[in-house]
Amino acid sequence: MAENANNGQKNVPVLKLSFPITGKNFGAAGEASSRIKGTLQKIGVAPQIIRRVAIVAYETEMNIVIHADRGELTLTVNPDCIEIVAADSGAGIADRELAMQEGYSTAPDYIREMGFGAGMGLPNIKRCADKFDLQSEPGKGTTVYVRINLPG
Amino acid sequence: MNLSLKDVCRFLNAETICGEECLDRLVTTVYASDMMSDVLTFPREQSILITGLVNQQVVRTAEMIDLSAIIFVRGKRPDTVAVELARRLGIPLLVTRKTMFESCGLLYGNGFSSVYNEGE
Repeated sequence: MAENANNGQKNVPVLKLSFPITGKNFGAAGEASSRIKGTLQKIGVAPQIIRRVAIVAYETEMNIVIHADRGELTLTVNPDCIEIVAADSGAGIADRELAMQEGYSTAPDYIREMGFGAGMGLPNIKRCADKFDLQSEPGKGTTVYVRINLPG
Repeated sequence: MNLSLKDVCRFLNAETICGEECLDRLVTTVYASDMMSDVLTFPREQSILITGLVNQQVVRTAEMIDLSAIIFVRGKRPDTVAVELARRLGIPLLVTRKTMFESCGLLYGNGFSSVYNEGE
């Protein structure tokens, strides 16, 4: 039967893209997020969903650029949701609760002079997500997972 | 009352750096900030950003939340990389010699709204 043949395959990804992100490369920062946004526009995702994905992608991309040496940003478009995973091998987050607090930032002064370090990154990401997960280990790195449900 | 980028230019005596063809765009809300993550907190339709920050990440921030334009205050001008990026993305860039305080006051007094109201 068709249902059994499709067992465990209900949510086959429509599209998956991965972007390597280089730490401290402010010239290229935002390019991955821009490509993610452009791709979603091309495949006809609703503008309000694209905006949420764009904010998540850009904030996670900037976090990697600001706080890590390297990382990877992955977009997966499924039939019922979009997933974004941002993983880096940076210093990790020592105090997760503090990191989620609006206004708290560990960004150095030269970063703040560029307009970052407002301490709104993780709160903004969480606000845009239907599901948000943050895994981090000091000295090892950080992975942020976000799922945004698609309507219908 | 329908206000446009043309009206913004008029109230702020602003000059267009790029995006002259977009000055008929309607504008409803205004965000004034130099901190990009603060700007990303309240994405709104038909919104513009007043800022003193001139790097290309301001343009990227505008791209992510579809800002209608960016206005730089105190005569500050973005570098050529930022301008080329804005041109490519279709984001108008304007510049006014007025301060941020005066720019905000003029737009607020002439009918533009804040991106959020306290208590929202």
